[in-house]
Amino acid sequence: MHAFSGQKLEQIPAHVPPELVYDYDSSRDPRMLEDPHARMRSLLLEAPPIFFSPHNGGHWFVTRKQAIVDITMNPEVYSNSLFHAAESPAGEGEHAAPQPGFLMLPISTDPPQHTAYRAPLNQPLAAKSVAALETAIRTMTNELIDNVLDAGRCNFLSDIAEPLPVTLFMQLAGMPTNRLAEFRALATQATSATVDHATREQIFKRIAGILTESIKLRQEKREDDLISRLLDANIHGRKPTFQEMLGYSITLFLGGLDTVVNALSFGVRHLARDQALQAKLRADPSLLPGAVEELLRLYGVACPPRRVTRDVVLHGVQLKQGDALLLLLPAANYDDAAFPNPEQFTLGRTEQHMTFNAGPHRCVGLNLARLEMKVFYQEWLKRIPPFRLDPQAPPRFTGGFNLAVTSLPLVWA
Amino acid sequence: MPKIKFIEADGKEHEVEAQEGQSVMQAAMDNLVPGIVAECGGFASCATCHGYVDEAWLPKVPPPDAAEEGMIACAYHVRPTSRLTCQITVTPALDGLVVRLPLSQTSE
Repeated sequence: MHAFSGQKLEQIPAHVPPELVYDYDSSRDPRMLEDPHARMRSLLLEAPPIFFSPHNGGHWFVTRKQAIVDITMNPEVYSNSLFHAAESPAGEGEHAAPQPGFLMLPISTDPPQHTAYRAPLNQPLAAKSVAALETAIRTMTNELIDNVLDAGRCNFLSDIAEPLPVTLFMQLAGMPTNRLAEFRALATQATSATVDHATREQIFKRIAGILTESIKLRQEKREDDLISRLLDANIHGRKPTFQEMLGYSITLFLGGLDTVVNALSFGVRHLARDQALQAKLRADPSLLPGAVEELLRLYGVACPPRRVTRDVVLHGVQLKQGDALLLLLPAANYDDAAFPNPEQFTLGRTEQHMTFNAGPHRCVGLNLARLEMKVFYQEWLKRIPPFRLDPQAPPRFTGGFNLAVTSLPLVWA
Repeated sequence: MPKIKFIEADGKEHEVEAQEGQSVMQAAMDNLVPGIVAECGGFASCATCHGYVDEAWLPKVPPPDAAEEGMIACAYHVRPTSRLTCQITVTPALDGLVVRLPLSQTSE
């Protein structure tokens, strides 16, 4: 059995001391499903800073900011190349792959290879480049608000949070926006930790099929989009192969579709429960960029995995070659050592939060995410009256490689 | 230890002691020099450790590679002497290096 297999280990590995074992199932933990980020905070308070859980194939969890930074800055020891072909018939979770030997790019590679694969994405997604999308984001946000404003209620997840980033991202990447619902459903299933192996493989085949069509269209005729730019990218003096293009596209597809959706939903849930903060931000929208950053800290989404390439001691814990780690970025944002009074919404924190991770794999889309969130909150707070959670239908959540919202009904007068 | 002088856009100077082998960006971060964000932590992928190498020092600093050049294009307030400070390694030859900082690392 290997890490992230979905099955529970019967025996804890010999090198794991009993005091570092803590029972936490990242997909099914009842307290996590009740309130994912409250559970992150409780892990800080109740579990060892680095702990081993037998669930999901058995692997380590890391919850402190400094340990996670040390891991991400040392990719030689903590690799993103999760499984070698011989050990696993196909990838899993965040790095899942539709066929053996297939790499999600650039996320499944390590420096120096990663550096070459990452470079073509940096420029099109830089703050300066994505600024050109501000008007489109504003227009799209207002169209979605038009659809729900008079009703006095909406399911924020399906009515707003899903369509906005997904549509925008598909336009940016060059994917057909008329297949939005289908893509979104596939992306959700692909990152769900409760989907079995065979189903996941089928999902990835369908995703790969759709992306293959998009890439082929752009091979024939370039447009002003990310897939077109990547086709002409220079990787070690050559253009990307078709397999590499597929690898890029899958990463963009999953990265662009599932993360902002959840960051927005958790942030809006926070505002729905804090009328004073809503009023404050309505009165002074210049506070929004800082508020977005603090909401991003409170509500991290992604929990990326790493694989240990050799025996090593991490902050006092002996790890063995082949061990797998899950970096609980959303928990690190509640680390007292970095964020005093971590549960409190505090504008003006200077410590960099971990929601976008650190090191070479730090989120390539963070400028786009920040812009989408800023513009969204500007328009939403301007047009929607004070809003609350629907008292009849509380929000629902799920876990896995992402902390996620599955339903978020809101009401307003 | 080599000394590096950072000059903020408003003229405020910060002379710091750098360690050989670290990046100029890291020397600034270790000494809490304002005006450098270093969002990505030193992998030439964000363009928020942007600085201007003083012209007198340009011949002594190895030129940027293609990846750095691509990212300099993404920085704000770019000039011909623009560099990403995370891509310049501190060496004894750079003792006394002067790096001026842009008005901002963002559009603001």
